Order: sequence, then structure tokens, then C-alpha cells
Amino acid sequence: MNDDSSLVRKALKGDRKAFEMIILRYQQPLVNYLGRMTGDREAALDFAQDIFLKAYSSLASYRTTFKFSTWLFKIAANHMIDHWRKKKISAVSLDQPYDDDEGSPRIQVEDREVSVARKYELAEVRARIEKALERVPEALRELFVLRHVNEFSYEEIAEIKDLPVGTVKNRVFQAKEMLRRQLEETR
Amino acid sequence: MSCVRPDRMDLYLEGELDAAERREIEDHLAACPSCRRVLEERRVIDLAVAGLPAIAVPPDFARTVLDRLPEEPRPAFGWLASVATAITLLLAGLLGYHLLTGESLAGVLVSVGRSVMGFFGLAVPLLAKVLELGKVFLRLARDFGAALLRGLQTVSSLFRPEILGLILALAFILLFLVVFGVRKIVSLGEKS
Repeated sequence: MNDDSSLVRKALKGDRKAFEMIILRYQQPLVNYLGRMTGDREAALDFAQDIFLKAYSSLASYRTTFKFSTWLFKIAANHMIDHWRKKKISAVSLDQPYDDDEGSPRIQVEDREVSVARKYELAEVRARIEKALERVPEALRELFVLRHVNEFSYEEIAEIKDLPVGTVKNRVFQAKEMLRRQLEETR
Repeated sequence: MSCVRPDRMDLYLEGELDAAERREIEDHLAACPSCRRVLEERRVIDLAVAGLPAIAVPPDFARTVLDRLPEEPRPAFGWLASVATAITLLLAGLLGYHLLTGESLAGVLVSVGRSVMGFFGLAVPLLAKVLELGKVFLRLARDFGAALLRGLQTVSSLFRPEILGLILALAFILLFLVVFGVRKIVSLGEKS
């Protein structure tokens, strides 16, 4: 049986092959997340290395009652916060409301005549989304990437980011609205 | 029903709504071309994002990480294991003294306290040496604790819980036999 828990147990006993399997299992989703967050492949690969090293050092603190992927991405999310702090990038504060976290979103859908989707093929939309994503504030982009690129559930994202599920849903929606508007503007 | 809010549309597309909410939205969509168009627009964004190309990871990435790993993962609460081992050893020493001599624990503590005070009063210059020894002792205790933890982990992975329970019970019985056996021998020696 090679589920995450048994791999962690083996790695804790010094089995490096087991930790290698963990790396191979999570390197791609982790690098995808870091790449979308930094917009820089090399930085994403460096960060991914650091995150796996951190995970290895604190492997004994992992509790099998949680999903390993959630635990690993929590380390990754904290790593990104440290990175933004160090670089003094004006990461948008999680306390700063983009709209109103509690109430219903204020995004308007007034221009229903204009359809982004109908005018562009998926491939083109992807290329433009890639660029548009970089312009979405980190705090929103991160939740959006965790949801739509890494396909975590809203509950898992709430656990990774220590946020209420409702706030996560609202911010993912706001990120998508920002993307949609940017796609419309750059048509 | 009025037009579907975009945030509800997203949750609908992601399968996050319950059956009743889904049905309500679907009923509305069947009658509202405008909402159908907006829904399609949002679906394309979801599909495009889900299909974003993966960022290439070099084939030797895992090997590079493995080469940077320390010798072995740090045990959780490593320092706590040292402290716990030191306290356990101290308590075991006091208990052993109590069992062998029959002196009350309070008496043992008082005499230990007096000895310690006397020691500090008389041998302050030796304090530095004592600290040095303490460091060595702690290091040994930590290593002992870590080895003990590793041993316990290995044993626990080798045996089923009921076997483990049996082993522990036998170990306790053996320990008591040894302690009381020693006490008996000491008391026989005193009588003769």
C-alpha cells in the first residue's frame, strides 16, 4: 500500500525512496501553483525545492487525519507569504475587502450582449487568461489557482488558508470576475 | 425566478449546489437565453483555466531535492524528548532509591535538596564543569530518547496492537520482579 500516509511513515524511518515518491506525486501540482503565483518558472522550481525540504524537516508533525496535499500546500502558501513579505510586494491584505466578503458580490453582469467565450477559441482564451491572471492581486489569484488549477475543494482551500469557506468562495468568484473583465477589456 | 446571480452560476458549474438549487437554476436557464449565454461564457473561462498548460518540471527535479535533504527527518519535539527522558530518569532514580532503602519520597527529596544546596554552597567554582556535564548528559538523554522513540516506532510497526500490549505487560512484570528481587536481596543482606 503506497498511500500518502504510508509513504510518510516510511520516509520518517529514513526511507528516501518513499520521500522521492512523495516528490514525484506532488511536484507537478506544486510547481503549477507556484508558477501561476510567481509568473516565473525558475522561481517556481526553486520554491518547490525549498517547500519539499521544509516538508521533509517537519514530516514528523504531519498528522494522518489530514490530507497530505492540504498539509503540503499549507506549507507552500506560507512560503509564498514569506516570499511576498521579504520582497515587500504589496500583496493585497486578506483583511482588505475587495467587495463585501459577507454580502452578495457586487459584480455587475450588465453587458450580457458581449460574449467573450463565443468570440475566442479555448486556446486563445487560455493564452490571454495566462496574462490576465498575473494582473489579479496575489491574495485573490492564489485562491483562484488553488480552486481552478489545483482543483482543491473550497473546504480544503479554507483549511490551507485558514479562512472561512464563505470567504474563500467569495474571493474565488471575485478573482474570476476580474479575469472576465480583463478578458473583455483586451478583446 | 429572477436572473441567476453570477456567483450562483459559478457554483452551479462547479457542482457545488444541492439538487433543489440546481433544478431551480436549470428551470430558469431553460426560459432565459441571456442567462444561458452568460453561463456559457463562464463555462469557457473555467475550461480554459483548467486546461492551462502544466509548467515543465525537469526530469531530475526529485533527485535534486533528495540530494539537498538532511540525513533524516527531524523528530517532532526533539527537545521535548530530551527533557522527558531526563525527568523520567530522575524520577526513576528517586523511585529506585525509595524502593531499595524504604525511605519516604519526601525524605528522599529533602535529602536530595540538601545535598544540592550543599553542593552549590561548597562547589560554586565547579558549576561550570557541572554545566558542561549537564550538556553532555542532555545530549546523551536526547540521543537516548530519539533512539527509544525510533525503537518504539519500529516495534509498533512490526507488531499488532494486541501483541504490543502483551509485550508491555510482560515488560512491566519483569521490571517489578527485578526491583523487588533486588530489594529482597538487600534486606536479606541486612539481616545476615
